[in-house]
Amino acid sequence: MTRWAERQRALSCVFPCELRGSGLSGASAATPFPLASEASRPRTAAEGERKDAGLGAMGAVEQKFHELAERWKKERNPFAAPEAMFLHPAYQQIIGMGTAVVPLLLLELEQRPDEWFWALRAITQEDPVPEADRGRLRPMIEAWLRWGKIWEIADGYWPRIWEIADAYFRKMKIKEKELGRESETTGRPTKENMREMGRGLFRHGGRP
Amino acid sequence: MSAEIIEAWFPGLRVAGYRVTSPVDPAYNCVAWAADEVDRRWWPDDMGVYFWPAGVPRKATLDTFREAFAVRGFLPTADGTVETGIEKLAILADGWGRPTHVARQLASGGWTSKLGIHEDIEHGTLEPLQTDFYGTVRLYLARPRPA
Repeated sequence: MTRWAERQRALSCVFPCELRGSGLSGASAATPFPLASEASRPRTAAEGERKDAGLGAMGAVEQKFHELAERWKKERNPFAAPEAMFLHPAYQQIIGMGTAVVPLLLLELEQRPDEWFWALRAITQEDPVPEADRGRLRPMIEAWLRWGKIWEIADGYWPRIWEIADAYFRKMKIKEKELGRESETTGRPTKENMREMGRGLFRHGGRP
Repeated sequence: MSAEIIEAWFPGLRVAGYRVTSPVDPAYNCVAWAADEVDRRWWPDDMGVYFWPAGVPRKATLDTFREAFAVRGFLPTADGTVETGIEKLAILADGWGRPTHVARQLASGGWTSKLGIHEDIEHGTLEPLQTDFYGTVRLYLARPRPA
């Protein structure tokens, strides 16, 4: 199992939802985000299968990302202006893969720094680099790597996790109201309980 | 970046001659080098990733490059003829007028260029850099040469 897949074992409940958007097959149909109370209960066989499908799909994401990255590095003009670099079709396809590749981009920045800043900005819509550090390679890399660790999960990444969860809970509440059922959710997610959920998932992720 | 790769992209350099004057250093690019900076990259990308002088629009045009270097005391000049006590820049642009490269003139009359984020080179003239991807020299700027 690749290092990426091992890390994503804890986060597979999130990324199958992301993978649906990326068009990759095998993505789980599981709910995009578990409730905090579910974080520590044993997984059912069906959920285990969905999780494995998610991990298999993540391997495909990693493979596709590396293929595109290598193609971009091989085909780009190394002396071209920045726009020419990130308008390359392979670079654009990487952006099109969405948030699932953000941890891979951060890993690349850490191990083989390259012009990945535009991809990260375009995908995440975030800008963790202070104004004074614009254009300074090492501080920009460090700002992004710090941002990638901000959700306090070893070396993982949860893009705007609380916004995703918020949207999910809102839809769930609306659905239950339509069905005339009292909602089982006890409240809207906050950054604090999302971090707690993340820690729970990360601990749980080590078990099959 | 090997000489082979440099000369593959700039065949004119092989003919006209050039000298590599620095190792690869991704900390700065051609525009920063022209502004005599070696610790950050300059470019007017609209996402604000690279440095660009405050107040100058983040758009890659000859006008914005002229404005950006005006902050450093450079003003438009007629050509790249060497003049004692004067430091000149040459801005290359593609067919759409989008800047692609900036070279700085040395006191000797030759030019120094940072090739992307790779090596610095010294070259006698600007012709070898005028390729299909760099375009042609479209603007010269000048200021009194710093001491």
